[in-house]
Formats: sequence, structure tokens, C-alpha cells
Amino acid sequence: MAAARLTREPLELPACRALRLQALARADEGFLLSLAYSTQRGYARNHAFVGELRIGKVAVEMDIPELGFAVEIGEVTLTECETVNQFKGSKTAPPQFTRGYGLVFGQTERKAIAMALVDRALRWQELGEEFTGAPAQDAEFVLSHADNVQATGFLEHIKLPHYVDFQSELELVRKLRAEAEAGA
Amino acid sequence: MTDAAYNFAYLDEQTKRMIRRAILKALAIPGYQVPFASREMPMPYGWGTGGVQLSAAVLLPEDRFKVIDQGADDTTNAVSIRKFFERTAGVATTTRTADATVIQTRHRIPETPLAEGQILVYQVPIPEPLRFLEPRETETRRMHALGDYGLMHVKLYEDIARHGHVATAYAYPVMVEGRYVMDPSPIPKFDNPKLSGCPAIQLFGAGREQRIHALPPYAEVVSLDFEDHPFEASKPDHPCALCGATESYLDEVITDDRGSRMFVCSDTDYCTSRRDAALEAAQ
Ligand SMILES: [Zn+2]
Repeated sequence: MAAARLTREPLELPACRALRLQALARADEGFLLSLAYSTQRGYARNHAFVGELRIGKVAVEMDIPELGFAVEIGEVTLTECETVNQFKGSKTAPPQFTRGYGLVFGQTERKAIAMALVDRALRWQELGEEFTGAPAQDAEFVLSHADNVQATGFLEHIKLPHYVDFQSELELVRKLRAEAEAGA
Repeated sequence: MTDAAYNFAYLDEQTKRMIRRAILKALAIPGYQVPFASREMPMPYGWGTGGVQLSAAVLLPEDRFKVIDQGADDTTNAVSIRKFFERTAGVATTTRTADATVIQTRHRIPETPLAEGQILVYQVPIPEPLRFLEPRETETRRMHALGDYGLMHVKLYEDIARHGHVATAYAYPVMVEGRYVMDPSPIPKFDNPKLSGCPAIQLFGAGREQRIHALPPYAEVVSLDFEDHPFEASKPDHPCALCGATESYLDEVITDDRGSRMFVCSDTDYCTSRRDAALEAAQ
């Protein structure tokens, strides 16, 4: 089976780990940082040891469907982090270490570590852990709100005119207030 | 003239085919939200990326394209999107509803009744009518699959119990062909009756949320209500100060700093056409 591709197919939930990692790699750094920090403070606590943290350049290949092959167009700097996390074990698995993974564009150790922590928190189900209701464990919440291009666009669209829907709401509020006053 | 650097209507042909397949599925299952592989467009999410992808997928070189935001052709979002397709598709554009073959809209349905052969493309921010009752997509998709709309009816009932009315003035939920509850995008509920039995194809695109839904021509669309609290398509109780129309949706415009105001048609083409016709009749 071909790997799931976040940018070529609509995101379907629940998402496999490959899709989650793609989404986290594209995620807003501040959002990931806060979620990762929340796991350190006890919301789905998972103390992480940094097993690997490295920076390097990789080739960028562009797949050209019309040609049927990929063309190397340059190289890009990436930061990769692999964490080693505590695990007490579960009913079915003896105690062992588990891992979280982060791979991000640029020289960005903070985002790579944050991604690894969030990846680890999102793996609760496959590792037989409990869902504690922590935001970092909630894949639908995390994946739906991590993309800052989406978030920025939707936030800033409220600068566009909304006077038609505002007018309809204004009329409704006036009507409800008039009736409330008449009834008082 | 088309900018030669662009494929017709910006998107590549494979992407347009993918979107057309989603459109066909959406037309075959009216009101059902079809997931589609929304592309990043050269405009921010929330500014019509879904509508633009639909328009790109349906536009033909011989089309005449109209874009409105809040009913007006001269609003910033409408001007930008019209220019985008002038540049990337080289299609003719118009402000006349009757002359347009494809109309992209944000927040309004034109006052002039649409005809067979026309396509109305809606820009949709949140396609899920149950979203503000249940934030989880995994849950709402299950509710649609089971036709489980109890939560929505309870919400409408609670509104009436608390306020005496359904406290939704725009994006008022509808039932499509007796099967799917659908969000008609943030049009004022005044526009809801125009959704039903419409001879034009109606397409709804949500780019950020990666969903397309549709109404085929003459689909039956019913605004949700109760027998003892029937749906009412309300509007400000005034005639248009410019053209005198009594049946059109009105904007309230503040005219000075003492609170003076006037009510004018939100549909600029409708208002202008009426004034032109009155002027001609007078001469
Ligand atoms: Zn008017």
C-alpha cells in the first residue's frame, strides 16, 4: 500500500501515525511547543530523554506526474529528533522504553523536540495507554488545529465584510429585545 | 487575456478532474459532504479557497463569470477572485446575474431568480451544520450516516423555549431531499427559500475543511422548523432607499455620526438594474 499523503488526499480521522507525523511536521511551532510543554507538566505526562538530535541537509525531489519520474531540484536543511520515553508497560506489554519522533524543516531543535513529544503523546492508543483527556493525546483536536496557514487564513478572514450576516443577527437581536421589553 | 504561464483556470488538469469527481458525487448525494483533496491556493484559507477550486473545476473558456461578496460585485474579496480568473482563465466577466453562467458567491443568493444552465458556487467556511453542537468530525459523520439529527432538533427547541424563536439568523440549517441536514453557508435565512427548487446547479466548497456539497437543480430543500413555529424568511421591514424594492434583502447603512441610517439592497446588480429600468421608463 502506498503511504498516506496529507497534501494529496483529504485527511480522514482517525489518522494513522504516518499522516499524523506529516501533519505535525507542517504544524505551527508555537502550537507544538505549548502542547509538548503541557505533556511535561502532567497533561499526558511522558518524560522524554533526547536519544538523537541532529541537523542535516537532504535532497528535495519533485515528483512530476506528467513525466512519471522524480527530478532533484535542490536540498533543504532538516532537524530530526528521536526521544526515548518512559513506559511502565501495560496489561499486554512488559515495561520498556518507547519513542517519539520529530522531523522538521530548517534548523529548529525546539520544534523537532516538541514534535517528538507530541507524537509520543498521540501514540497512547497503540501503546495501550489510557486516554486522560489531555489535549496532546487528542489526535482530532491536534491535527485539526496545527496548520498555521489554515489557522491564520481563517482567523484573518474575519477582516472581510460580514455585514449581511451581521444584519440578519442584528434584526434577530432587535426582535428578541423588543419582545422581552414588551413582556417585561 | 490569459496569462500564458498558467494552466487554464490555474489548477492542473489532474486536480480539476479530482474536484469534478467530487462534484459529481456531491450532486448524486444531495446535501452529503464529500471529502476532497483541497489544494493550497494563492489566497488565504477562509477567503474562498473552496469556492475558487470549484469555479476552477467547472469554468469553460466560453463562460461568463460573476463574483459577489455580501451581494456586491465591488467588494474586495469579489474583485480579487474575479481578477484571479480574468488572469488565469481569461473568461469574460459580468456583474449581471442574468448574463452570468457561473456565479461565485460569499454570503448571498442573488435576488434575480437563477435559470437552468447557471452554476452558483458558494464559499463555505464551516460545512458541518452540526459542528457547533458536536466539534468532532468523527462523531458528526456518524450522526449524518445514521440520520441522527436529534441534537439539532433539541437545539432548535431550546432556542424557542428560551427566546421564543430559533436564534439562528444566518447559516440556517436545512434538510435536503429528506435525507441530509446541510449548512447552506452563512447566507441570511432570508435567502433560504431560494435554495429549494432552484433550476441552477448549486455547489458549496470548503477549502480548509476539504469538503464539497451540492444541490442538483430542483432539489427539495426545507429549512428546519416545527409545526407550531414555522420557519420565517425575515428581512429588515423597509423598502430599499435607492430603488424602492420591497422584496430584496437590505443592508443598513449608517449615514452620519448622529445615528441616521438608510436601508439599501445588498444585491448591487439587482438594485442598479431596477434603478436603470426606472430611469429608462421615465425618459
Ligand atoms: Zn435597491
